[in-house]
Amino acid sequence: MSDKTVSDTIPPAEFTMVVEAVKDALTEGEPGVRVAGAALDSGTLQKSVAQAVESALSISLFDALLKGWYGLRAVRKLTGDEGPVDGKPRVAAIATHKVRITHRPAIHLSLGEVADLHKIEVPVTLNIEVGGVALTVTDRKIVKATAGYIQPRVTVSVEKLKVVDTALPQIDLSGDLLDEMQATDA
Amino acid sequence: MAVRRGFLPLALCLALFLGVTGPSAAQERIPGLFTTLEEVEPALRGADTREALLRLLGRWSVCTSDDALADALRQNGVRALLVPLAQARPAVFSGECDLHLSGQAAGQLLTAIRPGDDVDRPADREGPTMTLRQREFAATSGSARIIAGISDPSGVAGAEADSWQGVQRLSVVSGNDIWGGEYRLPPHYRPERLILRARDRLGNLSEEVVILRRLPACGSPEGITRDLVRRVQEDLNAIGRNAGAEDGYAGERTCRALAEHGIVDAFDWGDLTGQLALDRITLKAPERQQGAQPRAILPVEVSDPRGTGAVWRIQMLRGGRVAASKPVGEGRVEFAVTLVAGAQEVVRFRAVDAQGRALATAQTTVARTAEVRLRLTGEGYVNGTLSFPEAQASLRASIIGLSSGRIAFRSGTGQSGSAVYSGTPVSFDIAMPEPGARTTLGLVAIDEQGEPQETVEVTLFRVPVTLSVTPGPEVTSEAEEEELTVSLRGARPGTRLELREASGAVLASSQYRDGQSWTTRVRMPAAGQSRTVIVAALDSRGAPLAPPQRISLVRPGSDLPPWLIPTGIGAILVFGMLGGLRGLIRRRRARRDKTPAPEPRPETTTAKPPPIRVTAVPDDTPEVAGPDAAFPALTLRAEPDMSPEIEVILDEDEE
Repeated sequence: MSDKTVSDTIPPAEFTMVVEAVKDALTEGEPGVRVAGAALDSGTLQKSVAQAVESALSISLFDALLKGWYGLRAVRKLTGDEGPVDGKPRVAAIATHKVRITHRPAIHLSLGEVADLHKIEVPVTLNIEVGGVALTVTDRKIVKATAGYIQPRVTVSVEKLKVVDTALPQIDLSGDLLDEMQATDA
Repeated sequence: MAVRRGFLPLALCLALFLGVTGPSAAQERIPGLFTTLEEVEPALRGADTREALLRLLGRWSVCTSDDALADALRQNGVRALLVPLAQARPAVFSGECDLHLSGQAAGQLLTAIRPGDDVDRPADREGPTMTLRQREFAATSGSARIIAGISDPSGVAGAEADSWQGVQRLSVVSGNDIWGGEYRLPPHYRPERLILRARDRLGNLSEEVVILRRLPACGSPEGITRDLVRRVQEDLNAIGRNAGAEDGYAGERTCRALAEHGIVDAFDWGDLTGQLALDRITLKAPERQQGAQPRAILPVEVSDPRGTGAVWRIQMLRGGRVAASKPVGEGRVEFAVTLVAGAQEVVRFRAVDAQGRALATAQTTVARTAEVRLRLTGEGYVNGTLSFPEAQASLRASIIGLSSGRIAFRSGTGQSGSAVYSGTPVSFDIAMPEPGARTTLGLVAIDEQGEPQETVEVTLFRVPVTLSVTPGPEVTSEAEEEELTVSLRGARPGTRLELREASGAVLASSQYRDGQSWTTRVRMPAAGQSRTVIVAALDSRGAPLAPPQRISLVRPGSDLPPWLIPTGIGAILVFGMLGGLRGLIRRRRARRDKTPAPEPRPETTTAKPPPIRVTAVPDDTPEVAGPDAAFPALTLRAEPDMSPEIEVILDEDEE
């Protein structure tokens, strides 16, 4: 599996909805200075907001999963300070489970480098169903992982308005996840 | 003659051999004479006169069980011993007797040695007289009984029959001269010779030849062979008549099977095989053939196991008339039949010979079912295209022409499924492609035998929906309320339209009517403030059909901004101070240069600061506008959340 992010897997139509919502929030009047349409023409605004949204949604599904797995007691026993360091591989098997991750990235509109004009929160909630995973731990480090599949469902809000609530395509993880893990550990 | 003791073992073996072998081996012996000496019998036969006979006998030690003979021999100077018949064998073997006479031999010898008989009584040289009522004995199975009248003045010593199965004795079956016996029939239908032999008490032999024959239980015996019968039995069994074991014997069961087949009169077995070979010609056609296609192909197979070659053509008859005819001797041929939908017909076939005689027949019921069609209905479905704006569409399918079956589908989006059809339409929820995109959906009607009967391809088109609001996206007005007109394009009637606050609270809603726009009133914010409302179009499942439109409502303020007055005063003061300072500087420069008093300046208008003119009253959130160069660059930057909240929910209580 390549390291997929939310922005990779979200359908184009949903992504566009997020961009539109952020764009609307940026041009919406707020107490203080409001950016006129002349300052950010529609083309530039669309492109800039799309880049910012893509950056905000660059949340690695696999990274999020890994953090969730490291928190499990069965894995912690092998990877924590009390974990064995004898060079022998041990396998921690986790049955089908769900991981719920809430990210709160923000998009800042700045005027030059001094004035922060606007800050828009784009909360992203990921509900990922994982169809079983087997983690191989050697000397407190996860050296190998195999999983069945993951079924993510993503919710994206702009400010407090829920814009996207959709199930992402199921991702088959039947292969070995070692490369992704090492990359994430690093 | 002296007994040659050295030949005793050989004589003993010979005597034992003569004693145990049947009558055929001892047929030349004189009945009742028992001896181990080889020359006794020829010598006795060669003695033509009484004197010669007595001379011969005088050479031997003669034993007999007949008192009269013993007395007569002794009277004629012959050494005679009276030994009972039961002790004859040990007496001869022990050498006590050279020969032992009893029964017929004793009687003949007694007659021969009585004085005066040589002239008056000629010797009996004729064998027994055999009287046969028939020369041929026959039966259809098992064995035949042989009966013959056999008589002789000296008495009949025995009778036998010599045949292919060996020599078998006859026995007296009635009176003294009716002899008979059971003889097994030959294993074929050819006449077998049987030789009847009878011997009188003097050893004279007579023979008669009779015929023993096996007959069939029915039909003519002429020309019959087991191979013929076996072939008839095979044919009878093959055409369903129970002829029993195919053994080649024409018994009761074979004849009963022939009678069942209609062959009862006298018949020739050779002719019968030909007739049965024709009867074995069969035509094989499917009993029933049913399909939806208008043209049915009917395979007909002709079988001629005896290879008669009598079949000339196969004819197909429809409505009693020959509709088609094809030349074939043996094997398979196909006929095509065309029927209208829903029709059924019995088609007959017959195999005919060169004279047009039917040798075999068969028939097939051909039926054509009504044409199978898939009928599709659903919102947005027209002429093979389903145009629908929502992510999921409903399509109803029914099979015309089948009362039950199954309907399966597969779409270009990867969705597939099937449902059982039992006469009522089946509804499918079909996932539509992305807005504006097209894909195909294939549906198949499958009958109860699992055979696909009809396939239909449907184009799925997701109608793109556009939502527009006028005025917008920013409405600036001093009125208390403003009208918003919402237009929807591509959506289905009944689509829900909502006007919401940014917080999500619904302010107003309506349902889209085809071709009509929705006009609603929205309250403007307080003076000098702004707020955002959202207009959304929702499909039947509550999902947004098009990106929601955000409308900024701006109400300009009615009062001067608080900073304007101090700024104006400040400007007046600044310009006044600047004017005073400039006059003071000029006066000081004139005094320092001591220059003549300047000429009186012409009367001019005293210089005044430029007037301040307020052309617009900005609101609390003034727009900052101007040439691009006057503004620093606006940048958008995403700040990731480095400490997300993570929660793992396990199905089982592992944690």
